[in-house]
Amino acid sequence: MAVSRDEVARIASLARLELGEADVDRMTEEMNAVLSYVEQLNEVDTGGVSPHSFLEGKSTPLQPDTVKDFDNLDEALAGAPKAEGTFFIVPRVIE
Amino acid sequence: MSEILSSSAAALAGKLSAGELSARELCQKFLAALEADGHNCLIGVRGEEALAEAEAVDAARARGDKLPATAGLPLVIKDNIVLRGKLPTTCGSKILHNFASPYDAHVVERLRQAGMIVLGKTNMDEFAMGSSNENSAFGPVKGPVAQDRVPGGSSGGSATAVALNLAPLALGSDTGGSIRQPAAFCGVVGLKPTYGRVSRYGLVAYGSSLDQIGPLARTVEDTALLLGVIAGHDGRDSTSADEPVPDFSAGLGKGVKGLKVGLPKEYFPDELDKNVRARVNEQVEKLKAGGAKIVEVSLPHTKYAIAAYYIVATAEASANLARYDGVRYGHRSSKAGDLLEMYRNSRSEGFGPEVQRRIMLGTYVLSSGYYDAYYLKAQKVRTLITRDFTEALGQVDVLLTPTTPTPAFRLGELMDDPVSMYLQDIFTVTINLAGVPAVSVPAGAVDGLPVGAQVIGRHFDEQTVLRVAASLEGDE
Repeated sequence: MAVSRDEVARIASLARLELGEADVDRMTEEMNAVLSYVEQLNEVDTGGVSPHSFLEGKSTPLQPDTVKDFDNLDEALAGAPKAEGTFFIVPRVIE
Repeated sequence: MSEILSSSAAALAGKLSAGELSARELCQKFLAALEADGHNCLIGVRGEEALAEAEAVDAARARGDKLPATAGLPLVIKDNIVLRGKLPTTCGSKILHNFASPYDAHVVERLRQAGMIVLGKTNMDEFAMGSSNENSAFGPVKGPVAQDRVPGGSSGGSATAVALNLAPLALGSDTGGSIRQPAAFCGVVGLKPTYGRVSRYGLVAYGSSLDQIGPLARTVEDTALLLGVIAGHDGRDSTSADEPVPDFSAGLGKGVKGLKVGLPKEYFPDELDKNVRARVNEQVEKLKAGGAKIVEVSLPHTKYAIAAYYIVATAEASANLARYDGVRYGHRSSKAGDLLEMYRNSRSEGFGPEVQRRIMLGTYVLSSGYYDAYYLKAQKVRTLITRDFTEALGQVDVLLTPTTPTPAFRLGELMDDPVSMYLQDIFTVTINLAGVPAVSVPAGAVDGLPVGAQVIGRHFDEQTVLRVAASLEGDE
């Protein structure tokens, strides 16, 4: 299953990456090299095999659904590229 | 002075508690060594903060407070483990170059409770993606044995710092071999604990079903010591296991008499480097001489591990790395006319080529129409790989393998060939897929380049793994 140049451009858009023309060419080549390597998984008979290797005999732990405040808002906001009060500022979304 | 720097952590702990050495003096010596080093193993150094913490330990000791045995011991930690303060946690990435964490990772809290002093954050492959430490935005780490050789990755800075006596101990993280492979290349001990043994709270996520934090040291005893500090349940990581934490050093020195050691035949293929095979065979002879029973076992799905791993790991990475969007922290592009442009430019400017490649692969294998063919298939193969281990470890106490197929390769040698680079991890990724613990222990050298032997154990049986590793170390 080879991936096309157009497909790579579409995946880049889904992944929110900005790839130039040359980047798309290089990425198409590299992704195809890896994808052709992983083709060998098709040799394995996985009929009736569970995809959840970790869940055999285990359950998901639960904890009480209570609100815990994070006590260091100032430092968390100090790292923001742009913040005002307790808000993160981003480019205008609705014109 | 050099005698102090080359001492084991256990020996230093003895000197500290006997009052023969102050924590401040010890930290100063290591800080000076770190500052003078030219291997690029650190991304950030904690000078004043570390010394202030050391002074607090000394003051507590002078007052006669009861202190943990580890109080005052310095170490370095990989730069994907968050530590509150001004020093950024960069993850080896431009996108986090200015990220100062507002909280401590669980392991950092544990280190603080143990009175241990973090001297600095070690260099690494960006977001722990790499096997050579060449993918760091802060430049590659030069190997400790030969400067033109890679130290391995992704915990290359941690392994190099320990190998060069720049720190007695280090923390790394291991998603597909990132502690064990650099430990092997640098000639030190490195352990990946059982999945769930150590909380991942505060570890920057790469492949969440594979990631584990673990210790690197120059001796097995020190490795056990540091594992004891960081192991244990933490409710903030839902995959943290509520299992009792034993004394990991309890089995050290007990030898291997009566233990059954399996040699998985798939890990000794005909094409294995003959010198690596010879070094590992010498370890097998040691175990035999020590009274262990050696049996051949089979892990039949081994050849599919790299393929399954690169699907599972990249899929998880693509989801985990979606959070780096330039909104709340980290790099934001100056080309941010609208929201979408901001996301795309921030991410493309901030992530290096290998990270972008893995995000792309992961997004592709999870995308509509391909999920069943790639991701679901890989997860099923993973189940078969896990069953291989359950079966083999039902017959024997531990498995012994080479850690890597070759000794350290040259800087630049595999950079243009992702598949060959990925194949470096052939003997280590299986362990992450199965979630079992494994340690790499030095097994001599080939042409001066260290070789590692890997001891693999049952889930939560780090004790036996370390016991066997201890019987392999020393007396070459």
